[in-house]
Amino acid sequence: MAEAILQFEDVSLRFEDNLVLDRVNLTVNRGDTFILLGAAGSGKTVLLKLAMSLIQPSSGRIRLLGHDITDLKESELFEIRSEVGILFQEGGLFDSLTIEENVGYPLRNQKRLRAPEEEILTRVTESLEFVELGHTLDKFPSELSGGMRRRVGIARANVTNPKLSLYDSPTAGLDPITAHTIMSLIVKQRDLRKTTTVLATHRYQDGAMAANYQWDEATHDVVRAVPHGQYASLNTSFVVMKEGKIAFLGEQQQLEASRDPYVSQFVLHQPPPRIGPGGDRGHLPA
Amino acid sequence: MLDYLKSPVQSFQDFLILAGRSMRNVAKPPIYWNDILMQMDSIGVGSLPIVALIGAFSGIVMTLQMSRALETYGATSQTGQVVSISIIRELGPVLTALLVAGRNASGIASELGSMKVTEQIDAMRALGTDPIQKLVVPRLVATAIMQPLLTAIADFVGLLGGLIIAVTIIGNTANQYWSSAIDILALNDIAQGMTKPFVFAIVIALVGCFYGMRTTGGTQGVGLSTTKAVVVSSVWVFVIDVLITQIFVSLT
Ligand SMILES: Nc1ncnc2c1ncn2[C@@H]1O[C@H](COP(=O)(O)OP(=O)(O)OP(=O)(O)O)[C@@H](O)[C@H]1O
Ligand SMILES: [Mg+2]
Repeated sequence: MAEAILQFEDVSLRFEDNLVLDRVNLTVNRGDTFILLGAAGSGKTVLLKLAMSLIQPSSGRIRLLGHDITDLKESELFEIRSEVGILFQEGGLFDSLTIEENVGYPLRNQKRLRAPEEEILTRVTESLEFVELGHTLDKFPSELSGGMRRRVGIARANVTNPKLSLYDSPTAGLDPITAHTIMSLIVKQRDLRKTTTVLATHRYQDGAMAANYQWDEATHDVVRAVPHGQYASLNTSFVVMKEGKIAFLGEQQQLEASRDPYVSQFVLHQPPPRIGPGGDRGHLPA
Repeated sequence: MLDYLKSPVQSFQDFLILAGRSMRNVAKPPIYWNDILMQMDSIGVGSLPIVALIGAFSGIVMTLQMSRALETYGATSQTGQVVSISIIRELGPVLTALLVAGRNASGIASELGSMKVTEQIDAMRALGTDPIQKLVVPRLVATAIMQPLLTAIADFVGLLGGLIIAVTIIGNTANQYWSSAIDILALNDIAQGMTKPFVFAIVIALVGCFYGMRTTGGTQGVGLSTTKAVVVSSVWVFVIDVLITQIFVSLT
């Protein structure tokens, strides 16, 4: 029996008169990759925030890492949250702190993770090198490009070695090359550290890449897990959100076969396959 | 009608919740001393020049306005009394509070507001810190310490401004002015003059934090919260001023 890392049971969320999530049910098991697709405003961000209890549901229950977090007090949540990494859509980097202080923030502030200062520095450097930004320690977020800030966000999310990593629209607003880099870092984190991953995005390519590519330490890049045209079984599930409801939940193959007009738009809105050699979905021609 | 009242009542309730949680956290560890000092610097030291300037002008203008009336009643020797009573009880605290509201409630609201819309506040909670403890309490403590000090400075500079007019235009001697200014002050006046800035400070800091932390709607929202913070905290300053004055008046 697979271990459930994150479970939503009949979760609804309402802001005043606006029903933002409508009876959402889902389960993320250890080792899964969960791709949340959906149009703007469909509820991806609120779903991720609910998962960490940064907002409370109006009804339903949420279980995270074996704890029912629905009614926990803020002080009781900190310890559970320290096992989860999150990359925020708007970045969430502290602009008054340096990159080093930003990435070290969870290590210095979470009781469970407190460590001696040298160890923190080692881990921060390691985490920044993981995203290939080892040289930016003393810079401030405003001095970095958008893509670099995303990478710092990934480093900060994963510096604690979380059991679950949540990424909110990590590739939004980035050029295709940078988006590919970001996605390969997410795959790298997932495969090297065995992190359960939930990824909200409106780009189907991101999902297809997470579903079919693996990190290859030898080439230091992502490679397809199975030949072109086949679906890898990397425990990847796709969820398509529509106005707060789950419009689809299943594997990539089922998603691509879906006849639902809303759902299939996410799949078809991609460059046609095989633009050039290696030009498969999710992978950019070199 | 009830619907129309729902949202302000709800807001006020949310404000009280924030106020309660902040007060409870003031003495609770961890206390972020660095943040408190930084806020004291930006709220206190940053406001000093403008507070001194306004203090001086209010003393000067007040004394000028009074001079004619005092002459009519042949009471020019009591210039010091009139100036010191009105500055210490009323003008110093209120003018300083309005300045702090304009300068710091807006600063706090826009700073926390931009942190809110860039999800830095969510990030704090996700990464193990309580934003009330880390952001609200230092601002609250710093304002509550600095504003009485700023008011004392404004009062003093205001009395100096009064002195200039009393000596040059009304024809008091400096001695006459000071002794009448100091002698009239009772403990009640000093208490009133220091209670006000302390209470104003709490309200201004909390209102700034409140509107900052509930900002939504991107950068536009930040502008909106900033404006609201200034307007609402200024209005509260007047309302509270009336209440405190009434309490002290009934005490004597
Ligand atoms: N604090 C809030 N107050 C009121 N409504 C909110 C709040 N946060 C989100 N909403 C509403 O919830 C709905 C879902 O928002 P959410 O941010 O989750 O969308 P999203 O799927 O992440 O969109 P995007 O792709 O643009 O990031 C939207 O209609 C939004 O207006
Ligand atoms: Mg979003």
